[in-house]
Amino acid sequence: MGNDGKTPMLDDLEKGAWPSFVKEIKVAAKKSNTAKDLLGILERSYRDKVTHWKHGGIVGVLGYGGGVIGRYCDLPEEFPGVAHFHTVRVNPPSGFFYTSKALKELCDIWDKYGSGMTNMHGSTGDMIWLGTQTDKLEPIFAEITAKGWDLGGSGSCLRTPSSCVGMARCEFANIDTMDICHTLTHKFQDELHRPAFPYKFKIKVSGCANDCTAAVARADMSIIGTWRDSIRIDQAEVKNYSSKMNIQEEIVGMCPTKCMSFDGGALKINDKDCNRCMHCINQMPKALRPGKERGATIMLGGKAPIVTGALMSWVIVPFMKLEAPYDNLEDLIRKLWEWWDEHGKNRERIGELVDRMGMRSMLESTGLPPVPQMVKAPRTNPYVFWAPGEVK
Amino acid sequence: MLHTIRIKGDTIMDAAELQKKVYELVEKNMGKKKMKAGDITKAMEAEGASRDEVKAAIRELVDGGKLVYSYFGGSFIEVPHVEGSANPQQ
Repeated sequence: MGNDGKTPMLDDLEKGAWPSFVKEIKVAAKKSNTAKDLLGILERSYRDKVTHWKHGGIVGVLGYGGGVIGRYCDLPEEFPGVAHFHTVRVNPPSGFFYTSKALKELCDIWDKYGSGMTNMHGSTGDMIWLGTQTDKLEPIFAEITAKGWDLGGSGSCLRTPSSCVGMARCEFANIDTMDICHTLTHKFQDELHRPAFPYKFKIKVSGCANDCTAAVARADMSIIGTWRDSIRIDQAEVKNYSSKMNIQEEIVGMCPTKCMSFDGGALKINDKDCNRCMHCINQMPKALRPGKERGATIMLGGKAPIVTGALMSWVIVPFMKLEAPYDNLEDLIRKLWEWWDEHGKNRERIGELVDRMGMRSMLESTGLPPVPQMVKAPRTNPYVFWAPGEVK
Repeated sequence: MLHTIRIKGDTIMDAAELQKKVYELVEKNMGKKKMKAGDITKAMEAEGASRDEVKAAIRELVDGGKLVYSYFGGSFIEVPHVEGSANPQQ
């Protein structure tokens, strides 16, 4: 197929129950040549069974090492609208709260300089603006910064920190996720815009163990809101729930640490054995509430499979009190980065480095004490080693 | 930004001189090895500069447009050039 406007293979992707990106690009193509040529080159790639994209590694704005992902096509004469097709990442507000006015202003900038196609939000958490030319990058940057926005992270740097909606909308939030995300973004501007790490580093903040940002699976550092004292129980509400649900089966029976008991009247919880999973609180929110002494569990090492396989993050600090300006958290993050900078290989995530060098090296470097919660699986003891002098 | 940096014992050099060394290191390795910020830092630390001083030198060079960041499966620092994949602007 040439660029004749016909897209039989893409049209197939519009069939079925799910929303189709093809449908959306076709809407954009009515007013954007970039979107029109995007359809053409995509159809061509499907037919040729080869990508027609080339990577642009040096594209960006002055002073920044991230925020723009360069892309060119190898058929610029046939598809001039996508000869350059760079992606711009714009740092979103914490919790993704926008005013209509702000969204309109952003869309106006993008319509003026780009294809008008967006991805809200990408898996990085950023606003993703798809398709612009090299000479439009500085004007885009100038206009978004004039409105108080900034580019997000890309490359071997701190990626745009991300958080759940936290206390703004959720009764389960144990920490002010949006403030933590906002504060860390401002503290780490250099690390966000000037790539100096062995590879990417992602921070995601969830207000509770429900983990709405999926931090445990996706972030190198997961900050998960929790509590240290006991779950608060309203026994009268427990009684109300008992008339509507089978508490023994649905709550007590499904508790992962079996720390609960219910005698038909009162619910008892052995908080020493509770791992703060949130299951019982989710099921009976009127009867159970998190404790009052709140903070966060800090976890390390989550990542998707790229160089090596996927990792889920694991506990390195079971409980950290988190209060603005979060200097204790900043201090820990900087120590971890220093250790990773010192020992990490090119494209080695921090979780992979821990796997390669062991927790001992990381613990010694950061000064974190070894604790039982660091053990990933029962009957393993991979992290605690005795130095010869310590053995009697 | 001109301030004095203490390098190995009594030898003294200023920030501009460190920037020159950083630039020369990147330029010398062009086409042979892509330099990461960490590689540059370690090389300059070996000459006595501190991590923060190297960071500041890289910042000045990048802000001045003498060096640029690039991405090829990881972020690197390079001398600006027209890359092979770039299509000329219409």
